[in-house]
Amino acid sequence: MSEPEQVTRFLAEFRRALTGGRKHRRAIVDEIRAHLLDGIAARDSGPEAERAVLRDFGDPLVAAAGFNRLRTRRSIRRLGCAGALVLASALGAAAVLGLPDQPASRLPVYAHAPATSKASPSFRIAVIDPKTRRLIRVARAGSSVQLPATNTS
Amino acid sequence: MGGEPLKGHLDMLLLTLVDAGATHGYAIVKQLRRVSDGTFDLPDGTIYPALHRLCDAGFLKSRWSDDAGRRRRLYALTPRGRKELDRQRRYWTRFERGVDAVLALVPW
Repeated sequence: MSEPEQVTRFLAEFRRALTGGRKHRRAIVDEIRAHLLDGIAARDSGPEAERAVLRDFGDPLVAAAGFNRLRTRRSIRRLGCAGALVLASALGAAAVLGLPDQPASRLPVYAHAPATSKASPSFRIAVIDPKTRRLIRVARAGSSVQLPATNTS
Repeated sequence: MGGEPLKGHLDMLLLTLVDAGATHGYAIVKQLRRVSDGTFDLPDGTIYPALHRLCDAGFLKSRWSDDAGRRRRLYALTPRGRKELDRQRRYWTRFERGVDAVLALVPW
């Protein structure tokens, strides 16, 4: 079935409103195209069927905004994980090596990642005692670990 | 019934429809309208971001199929999605029972 002109125009408007990479947008547009063409075929085709299907679909800008919100949420989650990794690495290194103006024994180790983070579910943080330099525990992403000052002094 | 009263329940409905065998977006939308007898009158376009959100949450998984030259994204429930559906159904049953009990105080 060839694509009716109103569908092509509708999808072009929808695509323009989507954010993200080409592959991401193409996958979404392909899915919506299949939906529209299925709907038109189920209604025995014709311009009236096309109008009805597009009407049922609703405003393409609203649908695109829904996808864009999801994408933003994914990006924030990814950033949260990456941020936690960087923070944990920096704090871990500082805890092991010590900072020039602060004795290693007094460094608190704190690592945090969003509890709902799913971008890297296997991500773990090694918490090392700055005094003995021994592994104290391995913390899961999303948890917080803070060594009390009494433990490290 | 538009989107507002459905908030919080749409996930349960979508997971159920996928579990019942509606595998692609169009079938899911069509089934939702048919089975609810038009009660849930949502724009079709709002269903797709919800399906993608359920994929992100790990409750649904999707794959592409090429059916007669048309690319379709097919959805399936994951074990985690089944657990979530069970949880939501239990919650809904309890909620419904509670509301019914209160409404039964006054005959109408």
